[in-house]
Amino acid sequence: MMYGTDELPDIIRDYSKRGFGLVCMYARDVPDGHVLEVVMAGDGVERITARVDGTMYRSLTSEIPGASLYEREIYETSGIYPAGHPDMRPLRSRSTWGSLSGGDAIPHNDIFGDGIFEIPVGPIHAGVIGPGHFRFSVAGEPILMMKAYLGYSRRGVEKLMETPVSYDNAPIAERISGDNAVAHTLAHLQTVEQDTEIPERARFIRTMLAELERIYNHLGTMAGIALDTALAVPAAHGNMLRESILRLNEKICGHRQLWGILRAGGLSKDVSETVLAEIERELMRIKFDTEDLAGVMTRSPSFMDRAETTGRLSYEDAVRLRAVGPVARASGVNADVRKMRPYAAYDKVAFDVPICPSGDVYARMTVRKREIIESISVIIQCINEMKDGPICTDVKTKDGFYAGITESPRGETVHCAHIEGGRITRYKIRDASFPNWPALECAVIGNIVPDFPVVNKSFDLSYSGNDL
Amino acid sequence: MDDGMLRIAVRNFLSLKRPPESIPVLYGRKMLMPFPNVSCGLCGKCADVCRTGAISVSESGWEIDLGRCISCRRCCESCGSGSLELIGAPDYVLKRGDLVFRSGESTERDAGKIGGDKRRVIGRSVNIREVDTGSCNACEVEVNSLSNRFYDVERFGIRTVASPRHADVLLVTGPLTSNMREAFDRVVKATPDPKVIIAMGTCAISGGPFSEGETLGGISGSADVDVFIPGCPPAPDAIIRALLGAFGFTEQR
Repeated sequence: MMYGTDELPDIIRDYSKRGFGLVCMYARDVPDGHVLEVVMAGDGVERITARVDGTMYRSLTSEIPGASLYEREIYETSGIYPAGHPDMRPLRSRSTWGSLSGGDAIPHNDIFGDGIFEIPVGPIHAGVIGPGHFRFSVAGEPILMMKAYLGYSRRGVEKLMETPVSYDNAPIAERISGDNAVAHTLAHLQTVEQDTEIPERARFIRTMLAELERIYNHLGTMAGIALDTALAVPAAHGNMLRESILRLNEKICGHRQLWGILRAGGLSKDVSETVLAEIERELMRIKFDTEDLAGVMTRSPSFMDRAETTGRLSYEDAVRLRAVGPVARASGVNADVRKMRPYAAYDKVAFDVPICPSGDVYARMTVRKREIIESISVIIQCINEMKDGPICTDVKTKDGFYAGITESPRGETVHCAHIEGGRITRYKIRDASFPNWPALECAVIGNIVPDFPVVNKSFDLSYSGNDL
Repeated sequence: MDDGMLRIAVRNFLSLKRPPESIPVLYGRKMLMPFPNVSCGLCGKCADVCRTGAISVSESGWEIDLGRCISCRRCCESCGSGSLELIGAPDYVLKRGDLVFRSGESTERDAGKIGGDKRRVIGRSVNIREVDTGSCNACEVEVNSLSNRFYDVERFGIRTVASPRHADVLLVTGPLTSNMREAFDRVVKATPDPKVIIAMGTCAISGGPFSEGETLGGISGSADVDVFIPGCPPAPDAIIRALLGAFGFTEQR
């Protein structure tokens, strides 16, 4: 059913009352113009299509704040202007910046006064991380405003995915955000596999891979937080734990980031009993060591001084900006795709979704630590319940609209595919980092500049996933 | 001192199994690449499934460009006759052309070292600045892993520094996106001469899977690359072997 763009705010509010949330919004070319596609997810996934008259429509942002980023993205990729949008800063494209500011320069922050200074940072950072530019406006030490200018990792992944459905696009999906490869590939495979029944053993192994990925990401984040708060021993310890998971990954599928094992219809190879036994043994050790690591950190007064009340993201802001993943759960939002819309074998395993209400760096670290423990329990359950059987099946891909949503270590990951005549005509990817970057801009306000690395690390956002 | 931290410290001190891996252990592993054995009938199935066009099959023979290979192993799975095998590949080369391997020719590559002048100035203290030109952050995972206790590159005198102005070596990852081009040019200018530029990973060498996207297809067109490290991403031990070999650290040992 086709709506007008003026009806959209009411329809979205209507869905919100029924527990649906905005997960993705994009423009799509149709033979006689453009349409806006709004994807809402709750118990199921709903798509709302609205026709755009000409190249302009009334912005939804003032009524639905979560739509802000998507409207900026739509303007940059499709040229459809959201009239009345309060913040049309460029999102990714360097050429649009030129037209907005009269030169290839990044605009100054909109804040003036005596003693207010602006600190530009990036795109080459001091750490070994992705490229991104930040502008801090400070009066003394506290940050008054922070704006992130990303897009340096823009590779045009969505366009590369527009191929005939028979193509194996998993290698591209793995490289959207390398450390969230399993979550991205599973989301992509959901759009290709559609209603195909995946063999049970493959589903258990997929769950296990997704949780291994979560563990190594969270251990890396904990080690990073320890390093940024000058705790060298826990940082080294956390990195060692992460390395042991990466080596476990290599034993499972021959690749340290778990690439290359997921295929449409199942898996490319089975995991042997001896490897499963080793995973179980290794994870029990890692479980105790993780508890140890978290204990060492939280018993250190210098760490608690840095972590507590730092970079606080309130529950209201997290809901308003539609933050996702551990970041939202550390602000008290109870949202996890694995519980709401179970995929792989998540409906067959029991686990808790840890939630912390305080929204600071300490809460985010606690959520991650408890998620590691839950993930280990999920993997052990998978190993115990796994039965021998086939690991791959044939896949039939039908035409139409299909969405794949998974919970990556960073949060809700969305892939949407429009398939016409056996070919993907529009592919939309939304990484979990995309809605969380504005949450970071919100959380650092009032903190001192030296605390920014800690806050940034506790959010653990992906540059390449955001920029695509 | 906290008792937990003390316990870890004492355990590490007493443990006979020290985490840092010795040179023989690091050199015991090797990077792999697909290569046909004598039974290959040049059917071309592997070239058809290759997403990055690394493999080309013609009447004259079978050819793989390791600088385009993303190690997805789809080629080995597609091979019906089982004639594609995984063989050892070089950890690094100094010339782009050395990454192309043809059937019937030797797959051995002379390791080689970077130019004598640069090596003399840099000596045995290598200060690396990692530059991400739009990679998928898997290469960053591996570069970060270099400093953990298993690999511990600082024992070889290799250090990661915070600014290109402090660096001797630029370790570049990513396919060089068009948005990153200006920043990359300025980083290269900001690094004092003589500098060594290393293209790490398939993306930096050729653009890999993103060569068709909004990228410049690798850094070769924008900078003089001294060392190529293939792999998607290269494992930390491969990076260490490449650095030790390229800077000639192995010969004096």
